[in-house]
Amino acid sequence: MPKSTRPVSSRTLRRFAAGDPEAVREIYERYSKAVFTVTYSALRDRSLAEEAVQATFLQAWRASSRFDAERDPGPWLYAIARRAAVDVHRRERRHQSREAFDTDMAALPETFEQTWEAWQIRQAIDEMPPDQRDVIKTTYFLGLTQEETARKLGVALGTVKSRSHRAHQRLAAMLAHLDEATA
Amino acid sequence: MRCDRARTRYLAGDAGDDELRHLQSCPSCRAEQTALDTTRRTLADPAIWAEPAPHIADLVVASISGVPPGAGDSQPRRVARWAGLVAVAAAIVIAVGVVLVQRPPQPDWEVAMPGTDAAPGSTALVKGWNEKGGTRLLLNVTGLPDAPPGSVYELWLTRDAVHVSAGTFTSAGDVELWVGVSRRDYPRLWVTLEPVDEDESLSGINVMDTGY
Repeated sequence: MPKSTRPVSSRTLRRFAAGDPEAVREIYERYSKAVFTVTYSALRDRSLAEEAVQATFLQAWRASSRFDAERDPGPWLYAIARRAAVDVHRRERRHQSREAFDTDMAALPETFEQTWEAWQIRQAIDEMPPDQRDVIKTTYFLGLTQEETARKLGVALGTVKSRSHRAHQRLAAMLAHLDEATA
Repeated sequence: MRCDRARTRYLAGDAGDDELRHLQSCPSCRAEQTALDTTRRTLADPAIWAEPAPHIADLVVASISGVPPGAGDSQPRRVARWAGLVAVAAAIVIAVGVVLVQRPPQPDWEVAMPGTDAAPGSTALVKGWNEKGGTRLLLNVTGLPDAPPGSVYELWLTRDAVHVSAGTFTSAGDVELWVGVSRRDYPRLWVTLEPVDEDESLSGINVMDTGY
């Protein structure tokens, strides 16, 4: 059964900033899904998105001495991931339009605009207890009704409803928290 | 608490008349409406639920093994005394000149190539420059023993069952190779151990592989 993702300890962050390669795997396990959500949301190509994930963590490692271990690494990693996706996107554009010298390389598709929301939502999902996450994944990703979700997960309909309520409550709270942070 | 309940039920898609009325009349909830709709749309996006393939974790760990931490850190250091400053400035002028002459441009792509069970301690970071008529490749190979006498390591770029050789080498370290195809068309990179003989078929001894 999948586990909810735990925050990276401050000790791990200090080890990462100090250049300990073992810390990278822990940070990868915590953030790789959200990083992939960003790169996949932007690029819409699985293999390119995975390449951008690799580039993200490699660039983070290269910049580790500048990382402030006292701060949440999430926004920092998000910025690197988005930049990595932009680089991959522009490289692919160069390949696709070698003769089109007037191509506007600065233009990014709309998919890049929503990546911060996608990052936040993915983070909230990763932090959910697995039973709540399973319910909303089945509902949204598979498009099942609550009755179908109950049958698929082998739980009572009331259980699906209560888990769904708690999961959405968590997401609504996340949105309120975002508003406070940006107010 | 009423805002919380209304937003939660709206997000879940089961808001009743009471909650909908509240969302319309409450200024705070009205301001939240766009974010709630965006969240509902985003949750239905497959990208939210997608995960990278499990082997990407190993590729990341392999790719950093050849790169010192903070390698991208080029923050200048502060020099306190003017005499030292002059000496440092002169050194920087020389160093920048050397870098401008010797430093290759940033690669168009780079990928880690971990060792297989045939060479478990080995890894290579492969950098590629897309050039006219092909790709220049720079491999930084670590942990790979020297090829036994009478054999060489050979790098291949592969698409489906089509393999294109990028050349051979015999020991770890920096290896520069050239291949007349693009990684975009031939995405898999792998290295085999090949006997030096007239048989051009692949040995099947796969020692490093981007798809491993």
